[in-house]
Amino acid sequence: MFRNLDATATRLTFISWLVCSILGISDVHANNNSRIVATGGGTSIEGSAGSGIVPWAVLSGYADEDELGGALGLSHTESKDFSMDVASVAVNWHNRVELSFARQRFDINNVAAGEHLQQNILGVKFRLTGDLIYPTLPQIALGFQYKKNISFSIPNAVGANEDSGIDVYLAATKLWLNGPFNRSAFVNGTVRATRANQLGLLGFGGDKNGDHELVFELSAGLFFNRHWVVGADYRQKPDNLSAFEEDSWQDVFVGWFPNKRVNVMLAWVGLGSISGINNQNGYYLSVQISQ
Amino acid sequence: MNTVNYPMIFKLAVLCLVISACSTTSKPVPSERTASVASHENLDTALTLYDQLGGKDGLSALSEQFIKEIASDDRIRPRFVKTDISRFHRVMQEHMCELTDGPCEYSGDSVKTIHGGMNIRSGEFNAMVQALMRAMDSLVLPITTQNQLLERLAVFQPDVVGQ
Repeated sequence: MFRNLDATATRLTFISWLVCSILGISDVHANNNSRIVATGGGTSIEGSAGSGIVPWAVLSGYADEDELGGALGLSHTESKDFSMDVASVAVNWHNRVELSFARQRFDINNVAAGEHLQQNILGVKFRLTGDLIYPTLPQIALGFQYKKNISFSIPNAVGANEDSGIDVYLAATKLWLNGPFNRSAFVNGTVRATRANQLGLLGFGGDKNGDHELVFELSAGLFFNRHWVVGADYRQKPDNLSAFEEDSWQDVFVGWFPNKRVNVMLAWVGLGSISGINNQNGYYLSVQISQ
Repeated sequence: MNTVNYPMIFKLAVLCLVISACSTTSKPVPSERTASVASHENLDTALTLYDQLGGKDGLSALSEQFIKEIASDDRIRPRFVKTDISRFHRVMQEHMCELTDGPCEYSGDSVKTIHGGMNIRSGEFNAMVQALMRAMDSLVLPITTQNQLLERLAVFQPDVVGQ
């Protein structure tokens, strides 16, 4: 079991999937998903509620105060030379605390035959104050992401200092029910302290910079109706390794929330330079099952 | 060193933010809007929300459907077991009429007074909002009309929840 942590983590994720699905189905009539459709967002690549690349201040799933909820997410990103798969699970307690776990697997077959970079991310997010929809402050949340590489050999070889790190972020999200064109619209701003190289997949800190630095992330979107949203993300990133230049990320996305159970996000992504290869443009697809 | 550049997408997002902020603060007051009806083509946009909802008959139908939706939701139905439904129907129409710039004056108590001591939970308020959404959907009201009504009712959330 210890020899194969990789398979164990994957198995755990799928067991969580199963448990939550069963819970969800048996609890359809209980008071456990009172928030409004789409207000739980999607599942980000780090497991927290958000868009593809930006964690938002909203908490996963549809749990309101005194309720339990959560989400399971699977995503696939494909750029010119790389691809990444993420499986994640998040639990929302009373719309106050979100706990999440994500496993990222980044395929670098094009630069190192048969190799991939993997890490686990354990996240916690606290809703501090405000509200997404109702007239008060924007919803504000404080989050932590503990990231740990499964194997440090490649990150080490390219100059990363450590195989684990903690990101701390503060996010604020506001949705206007009657925004531009009488459509609902939202804006999210996130400030993150991080020393992760390419999310942490290439380790933490490097020869150019070993300390946490502040980066800014932004999402905005417009709901065509309650079930379809179009938006964009921007995510600034550190640039700690002299071996590989790291760029900021951006995407334009379409999100579909047919009901509170399902969310699908499709995005066109621009990931800049990764591992020394420029213009990593491509797509991102994620499916979320939520409660 | 970390070089930071702000690409087009970031600028667009900021633009969205600015547009959103402006659009929530620059709505004309109803009296100006009514007075500015000058030509036939802007008649649609100049309609009050009350008119968009179908006036007296529209609000009556909406209130009735809303009550049906409340009755079908286990989370909120228990709150209404002692309610005089015909009075509730009448007062709700009157309040919505006033809130949507219709020719009515709401005669009931303030929202805060009505919900005082009830200790209504956030989830119950959200359940009510979703009952209204289902009611508006079943009457096939355009999303643009629905959003305007939701915005005007959402401001009461702090007066209802936790009182």
